[in-house]
Amino acid sequence: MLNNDIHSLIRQYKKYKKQRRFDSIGRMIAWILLPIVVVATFLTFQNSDTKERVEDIKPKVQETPPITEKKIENTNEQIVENQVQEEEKKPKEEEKKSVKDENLQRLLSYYTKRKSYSSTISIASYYYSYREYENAIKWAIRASKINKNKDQPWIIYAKSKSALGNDIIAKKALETYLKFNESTEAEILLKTLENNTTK
Amino acid sequence: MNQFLEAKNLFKDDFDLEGYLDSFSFEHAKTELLRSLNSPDIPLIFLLGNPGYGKSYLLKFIEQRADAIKIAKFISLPYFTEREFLENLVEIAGVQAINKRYDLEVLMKTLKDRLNPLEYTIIIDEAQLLNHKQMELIRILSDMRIFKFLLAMHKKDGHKILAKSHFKSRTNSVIYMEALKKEEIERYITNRLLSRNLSNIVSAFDSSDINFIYKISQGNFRLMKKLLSALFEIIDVAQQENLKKYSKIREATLTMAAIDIGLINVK
Repeated sequence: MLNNDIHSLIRQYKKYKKQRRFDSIGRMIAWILLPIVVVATFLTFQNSDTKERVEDIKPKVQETPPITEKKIENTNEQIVENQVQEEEKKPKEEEKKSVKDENLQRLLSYYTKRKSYSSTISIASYYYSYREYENAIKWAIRASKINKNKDQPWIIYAKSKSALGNDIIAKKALETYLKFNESTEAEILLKTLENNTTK
Repeated sequence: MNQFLEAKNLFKDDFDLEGYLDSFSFEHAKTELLRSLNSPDIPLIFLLGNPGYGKSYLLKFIEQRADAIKIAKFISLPYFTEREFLENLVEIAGVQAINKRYDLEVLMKTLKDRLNPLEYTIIIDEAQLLNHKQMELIRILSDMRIFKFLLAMHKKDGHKILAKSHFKSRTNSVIYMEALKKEEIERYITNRLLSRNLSNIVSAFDSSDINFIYKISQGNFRLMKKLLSALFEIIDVAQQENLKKYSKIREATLTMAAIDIGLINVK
């Protein structure tokens, strides 16, 4: 005997199909967002690098300033200059933060709509990419609760634990996962952690 | 009878040995089990596997088809008191339960005197449910070589028990049952349906359907049978209600079957 009436099964099937469509859109968003975030982060770092380099050169040109009596004034000018530079930096950091927050908000709002594996793991990966390991751990645990067989939550969990300096827990987590599942990625990560320990 | 209804009955979760599954895991476990059961040196055999991998089915197979094995008792669920257990065993030895006296030593001695060493086997399914006292009794009886024990239990629990020091060093045999492979699932479905001349249904399955069944059941024998049973019932009901879209084997009906047996959770 079926546990459900056929019409109820058809309804549930249609609902499930819809959910799957949402999930795949969520995955797509995550896949689109992640590279953008990575590229944006890379560019921001690169810009600040070039700026620093230009600034490094500038003083060299000014390194041989005409010796004037205005030494004190000069120092003051430098302070003012530094302040200006710092103020110029601030908006960029804020901008970076706002991009990050915006993306995170999107992922979180998608998660509140659909508490699926894909939405949860996207948030975990996102936090991990921003080196927010505590949050990455929190979300990886959530993701693993939704789908116990996926290796990605365990891998993010282990990587984050390792990044926080807790290699023992990281290895234990991977060993636990590999007891019940197969995953080349998890195996490689475990071997890497083991090699790191023996070194 | 409608052919889908007939197909549904073929995949009921029972111990119909006609539909024996000749998978690698089954065959390997069966051969190892028979070897251990026939060996005069192995008093304790552990059959380990995840729930639904076919341990109970294999035990039934041994009980019904392995004629050379003398089975004193087949316990499907080990809910018994030590007293009941021992009294039952003594009766097997042909003694009238010694006035129902519960004296462990006397009972043991009677059994040892009456029976040839390891002549009889006691099969216990779901042995992870045995409590510490029961397990200790089994250990003593097998140590004294009064009975051979075949204990089937979940893999995790089996590992815990085997890790205990008093089981570690003992002469025992540990046999594992693994998940089915995709090809084995396909062969099982085909053979089972063809045994009832349901070739129409066999040809209705394509490789993506088999993939779906394999993935969703994760090679689990019991889940695979439940899924197929639900699938055929859905199709049968859909045909009766003239729901043409759901009257065939396809992703929709397979998904509905998976929802029905709880493999897919729709919130």
